[in-house]
Amino acid sequence: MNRLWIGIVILFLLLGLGVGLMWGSVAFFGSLSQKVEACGEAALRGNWAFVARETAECEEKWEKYAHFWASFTDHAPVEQVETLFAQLELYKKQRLSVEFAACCRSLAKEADAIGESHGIAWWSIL
Amino acid sequence: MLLSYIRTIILYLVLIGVIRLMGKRQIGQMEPSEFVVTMLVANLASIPMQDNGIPLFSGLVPILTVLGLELVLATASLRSVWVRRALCGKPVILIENGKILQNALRATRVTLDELTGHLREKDILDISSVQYAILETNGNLSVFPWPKGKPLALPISIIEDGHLYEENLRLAGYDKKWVQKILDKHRASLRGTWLLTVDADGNVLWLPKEEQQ
Repeated sequence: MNRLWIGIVILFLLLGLGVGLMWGSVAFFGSLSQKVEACGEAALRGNWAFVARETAECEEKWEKYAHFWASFTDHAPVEQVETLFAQLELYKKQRLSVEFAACCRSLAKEADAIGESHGIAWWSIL
Repeated sequence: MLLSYIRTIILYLVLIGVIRLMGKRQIGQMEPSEFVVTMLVANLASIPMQDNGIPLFSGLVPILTVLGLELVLATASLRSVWVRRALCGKPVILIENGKILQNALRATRVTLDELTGHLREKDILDISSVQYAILETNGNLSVFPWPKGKPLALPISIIEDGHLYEENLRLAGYDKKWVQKILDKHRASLRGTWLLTVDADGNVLWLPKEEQQ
C-alpha cells in the first residue's frame, strides 16, 4: 500500500511540476517576446528612449531567470537567446534600426519557441 | 517537462502493449511490465549522460514517471485480476495429460521445435513422458512429467483474491451451487476467499483472505 501511495505521489508531483513549468514558461517567454517585438517596432519609429528602457528591463529579467530555464530546456536555444541579446546591444549602440528590429524579431521567435517547448500541442506530443 | 511526462506515459503503455502482443516467448525471466521498465530506465538514463546540452530533468522526469507508473500498476495488479491479466496475461497449458494442445501452441506462437528445446533444457527427451507443460506469464515453461505412481491432478483455480473464474469452474466440471456449498462449509464469502482450487480427484483447497496489516 505504501508503494502505491509513493507511486501516486510521484506521478502527481511530476504532473504538478510540469503544469507549473508550462504556465510559467508561457507567462515568462510570452511577455519577453511581446516586449522585444515592441522594442523592434519602436526602433523602426526612432523611439530609442523607449528601446533603451525596455531592452534594459528585458535583459535584467533574462539575466535573473536564464539559468533556471536552462535547467529545464535544451541549452542550445537558451544560448541562442543570449547571443541575440548581445547582438541587440550592439545594434542599439549603433542605432541601426533595421538590423535591431530584425534581431528583435529573431529573439521574439526564439523566446516563443522555448515557451512552446514546455506547452502541450498534438504536434509536440508526436 | 509536461511533454516529457506525457510522452513517457504514452511510450510506457505502448511498450507494455507491444511486449504483450509479442507474446511470452520473448520475455524470459521477467513479466512484461518489468521488462519494459528495465529497458526504458537504462535508455532514459543514458540520454542526459551522453549530451550535456540536454537538461538532467529530461532523463530524470521520464525515469521518475516510469517508476511512479510501475508502483501504481504493480499494486493495481495485486488488487485487480483484470489489471493483472491486461499487464501480464495468463499461463497457457501447452501439454495436458500427455496431449500436446496444438491450438494453444499456435495461439502462443511456440513451435514444436521450441517446445522440445525447452523440454530438453529440463532433461526431458520424450514428449510422451510429460503430463503437463505450462507456459508461464514470464515466458518460462513449467514441466510436470508423469509421476511414477498416480497421475498428477493439476489443481484449477476457481477463486483467486475474491474473484470467481467462471471459465475455470466450467473446465473443472462444477457450477456455482458447488462453489456456494464449499463456501458455506467454511462459513466464508466470495470476497473473504483468498484461494479456492480443485483438482481432477475432487480435492479442494480453500484459503481465507488475511486482514491487511
